[in-house]
Amino acid sequence: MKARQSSVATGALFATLICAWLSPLQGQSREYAAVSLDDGNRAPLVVIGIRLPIGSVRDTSGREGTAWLLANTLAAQMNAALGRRTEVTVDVGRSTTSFTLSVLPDNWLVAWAILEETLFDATLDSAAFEHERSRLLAQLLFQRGSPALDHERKWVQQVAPPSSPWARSPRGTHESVEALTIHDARLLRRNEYHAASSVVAAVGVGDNAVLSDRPSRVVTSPPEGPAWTTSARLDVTREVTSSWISVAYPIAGPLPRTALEFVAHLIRWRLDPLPPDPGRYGEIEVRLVDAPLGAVIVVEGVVAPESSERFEQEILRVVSGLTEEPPEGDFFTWDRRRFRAARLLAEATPELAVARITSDLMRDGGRRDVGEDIWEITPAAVASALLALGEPRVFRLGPDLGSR
Amino acid sequence: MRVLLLLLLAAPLAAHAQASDSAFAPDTILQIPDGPRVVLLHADPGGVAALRLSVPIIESPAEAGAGRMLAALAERRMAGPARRIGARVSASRTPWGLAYSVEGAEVDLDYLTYLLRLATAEPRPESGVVDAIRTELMSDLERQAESPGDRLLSELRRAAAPELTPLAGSPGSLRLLDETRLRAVWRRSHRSASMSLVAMTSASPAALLAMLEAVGLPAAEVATPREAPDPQETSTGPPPLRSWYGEARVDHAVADPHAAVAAHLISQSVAHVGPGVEIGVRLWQLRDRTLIVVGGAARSPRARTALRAAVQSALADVLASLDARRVEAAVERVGLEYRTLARTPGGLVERVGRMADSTGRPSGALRYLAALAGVTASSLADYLNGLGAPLVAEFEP
Repeated sequence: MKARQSSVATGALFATLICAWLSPLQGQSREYAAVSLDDGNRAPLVVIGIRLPIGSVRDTSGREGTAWLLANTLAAQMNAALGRRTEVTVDVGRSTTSFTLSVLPDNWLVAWAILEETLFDATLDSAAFEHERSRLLAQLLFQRGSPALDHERKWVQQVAPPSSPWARSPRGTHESVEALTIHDARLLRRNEYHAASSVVAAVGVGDNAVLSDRPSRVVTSPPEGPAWTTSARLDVTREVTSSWISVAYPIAGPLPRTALEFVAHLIRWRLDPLPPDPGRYGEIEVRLVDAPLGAVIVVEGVVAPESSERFEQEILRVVSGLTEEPPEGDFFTWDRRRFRAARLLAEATPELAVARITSDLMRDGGRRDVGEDIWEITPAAVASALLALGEPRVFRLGPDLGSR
Repeated sequence: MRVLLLLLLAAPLAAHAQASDSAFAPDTILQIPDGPRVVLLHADPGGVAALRLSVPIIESPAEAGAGRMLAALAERRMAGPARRIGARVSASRTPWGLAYSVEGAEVDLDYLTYLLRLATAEPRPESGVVDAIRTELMSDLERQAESPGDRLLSELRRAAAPELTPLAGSPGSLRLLDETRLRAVWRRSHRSASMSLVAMTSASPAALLAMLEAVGLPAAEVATPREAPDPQETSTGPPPLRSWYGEARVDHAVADPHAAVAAHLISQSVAHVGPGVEIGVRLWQLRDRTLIVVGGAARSPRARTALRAAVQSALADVLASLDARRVEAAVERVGLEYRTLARTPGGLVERVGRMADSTGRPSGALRYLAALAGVTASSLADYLNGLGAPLVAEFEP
């Protein structure tokens, strides 16, 4: 009987959705804050990203994880409605949530209509919500005590004020996820999930009557920073077999985004020798993070404990070396060429392209032409960006080397 | 340079496939007399150029593993120069030969073709490099010999295609592969006329061809095959802790999409056999045939019985449950996965190049997708019924 009820419910949902997509086929049905289309001539897939200005920062105290559960429940409902020809993934961050639809070109109009309908109008399904909650609780239980997660939690507290809700984990805690209810998720959705505050980017849709370029009507002005003015250091001793190192640099802005990304690229390239350092376990990551009080460049790596001090000194040396002697002449030309190639190759993956474009739209109100922007970067612009780096905050989690 | 230019007629090919698959359709095919065949894809690469050059190789048993060693040497040669411009490079052994891939900014196209010339140049490794690569490949063989799952696959492959040399080589053949022998394999295989390039770039065919001059050896300089006895040495692994059982069905085609749809449906069918049973499905592409392998492991006698029953009935179970809706869903899933792999310039040239290597047709990928769209419950039933008796392999603790 249950199966029959479920089948009837699924049928009704599908019928509603089919009716719903008839209307967008006749014209753009929603008014987004901004839409940006990339022709992606003859792309074998259509990829559409939608970013909403809702992240874990909006979770109420004691209900952390609400934004995460809401978005994942909606993604599960979308995937159930869309079937096997399409896939929706979701990424819930601290400040925004983005849904990405990957679909065959012949099916994108229907899939997009189903995504919109589910995102903004369809009833939040309690069974799907409970399923996602169970999944999240199982993950949190499995990862309890994980040094990688401990590291993530601690370094975030270094780059944000201690009381900032931005510093909380987007997935919440075991206790908060158990405590929150579907009503919390419904309330968050009713209050915050609006097309008018969301931005859309698409690759491969070509000319169509549903989505067309729309300049942004909403621009968030990120704080200019610097996020802090004094250096700090935190060491956490854990009996683990690796050491996690983070070195975060605050940036005094405002500065062009592409120049800052170039600086992050320069640091990474100089820290990533060929052949690789045998003391490192994984990749070096250099990220540009929009922290609550200003942008921050974070350099991270996992290393053998006995290499941790050397690695930390290497990061500090590379950054101060770049600041004292910014690249010029041929060195600059080669650096810029490599950076441009790396960005173009990364954005050849359409999901990454739409993620970057929706971030641009939400942050700056417009989308960058990254390839052209990079050609326009000058040695002076890079030198200015490097000079804007402030005092670093260092975080290390690992075993006590003195006891070895 | 004399160039024979063949312009592909897009319209008849497009009729086989969905309009949205036109990215897989070659725009231009060039055959240089005594030189490589060049297939150009002119989809908008967004400032990125991707090239994949393939070279057919057939190894004798005494040379088994030479292709993998040549690929490893080529990757080492390319890595440093590629890093200078931020290009991605790879060299890999395929069932048909070697594939050298480069991907980078379109403005660096000239340099990308230089990387291909570097990759395909005669190997002159520094002292100790061949030994280091041999050690890595030996470790791979030992790892596979210690893994009962890999051993099961290896046994089934040997039973299905005893005449095909294993690409990974054997301890005996790897030991014999010194620089002289590697160079002999290289000289025999890296002829310009046998090479095939798939490129996604907005450069003109003439510009691309000019950059590709001097890739590979002219026919006059090709070496003759080196005769050597089969070293007849294989790895043996430790006894397994669990019972392993697997079956392979041989599809004597290389690009029939029914195989992928069948593998997808079988994997769904065997996903929940029961507790204590680990079971999987693998589609294994060999040079001239395809294997559909179903196999796994179980500990207790009851689980062992369940494993055998599930593997032995896997095909019949799928046949019994075939209906239009299930097959349509499987076709869509296989199609989405294939196109997802092709969504980047590098992924697209890899799919088109691989299919061209296996079928000999530059439009092989497009034809594959068109054939995939034509898979029905009825055609799949015919395909499964035509696979013949399974080959069996098993290990007991």
